[in-house]
Amino acid sequence: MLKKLLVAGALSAIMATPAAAQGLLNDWAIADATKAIVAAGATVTNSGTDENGAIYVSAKSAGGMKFLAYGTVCSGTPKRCKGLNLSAGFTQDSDAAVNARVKEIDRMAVGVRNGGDNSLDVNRYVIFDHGITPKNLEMNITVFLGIAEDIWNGGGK
Amino acid sequence: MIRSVAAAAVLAAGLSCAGTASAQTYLADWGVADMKSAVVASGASVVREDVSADGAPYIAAMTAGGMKFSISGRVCDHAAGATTGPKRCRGASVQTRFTLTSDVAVDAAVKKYAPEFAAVSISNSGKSELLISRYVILDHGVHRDNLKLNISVFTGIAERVWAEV
Repeated sequence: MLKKLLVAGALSAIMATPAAAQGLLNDWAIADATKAIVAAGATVTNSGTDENGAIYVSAKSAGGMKFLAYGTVCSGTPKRCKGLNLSAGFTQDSDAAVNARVKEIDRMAVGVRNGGDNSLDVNRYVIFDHGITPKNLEMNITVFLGIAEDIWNGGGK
Repeated sequence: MIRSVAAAAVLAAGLSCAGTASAQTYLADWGVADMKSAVVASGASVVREDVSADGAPYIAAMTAGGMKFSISGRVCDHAAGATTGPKRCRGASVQTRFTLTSDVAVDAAVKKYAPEFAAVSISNSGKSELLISRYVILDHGVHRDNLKLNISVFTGIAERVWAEV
């Protein structure tokens, strides 16, 4: 009986993380994002589960820019997510200044928007469904950081 | 700038799956045949295929609902060691544009829809055009069905905005 339970447990664990076992990611957990963020040259400052039950990893780029990796379409215990939203917010002088930056920024690999409270929000959304390689995730983070830091420093036009 | 950032990122990385054959499940880059398959699998139709002046592949497509969109290659190269022949690309820009009544109307649409949809970029591209785009990075490999889903997510959001503006 004990053997059966152990086998069942092992099978369920494998089925829960088939991509990880193959080196591929169909979804992500905190450890996956942490590894990719560090590989992209950034530093993880915090991680956990928020009040809505979504997992997150907060981090800082080598240049000092704070950003957040936030899970969407999450399920299971512990949570794994099919979507990952990379985001950073930069406070501007006024709502008009945010709108002006939104209008002038021209970078197709990220979204820019007025996040309210004078915040210029920059994001990149990564879809994991059906599988991406861990290196692809790292590349998504690297591209996001490169563009977001440029915008942070007044570029992106 | 985006092109240079993406190109730098690609060059900095080891290309573990460069030159992926179209029959393989994972794509580290794409050619016209790969993208046509993904477009059709997403439920849309390919209207036209072309090559840009710099040799990058381009596909014009239409959703089942009639919305036109395009997919153009970014960070494209010939096969390893070749200087001619079709290029394969590690980035794909999926986009559509809707002409609104004025620049002010476009700005209002950006302010309304951009915070609502994190999976796409929604911007004012000038000439009273609302630009909706999603940039897909293929470096190191994504599953073909992941590429298809990227297109589906894009068209789903874009059609929703299209219906309202």
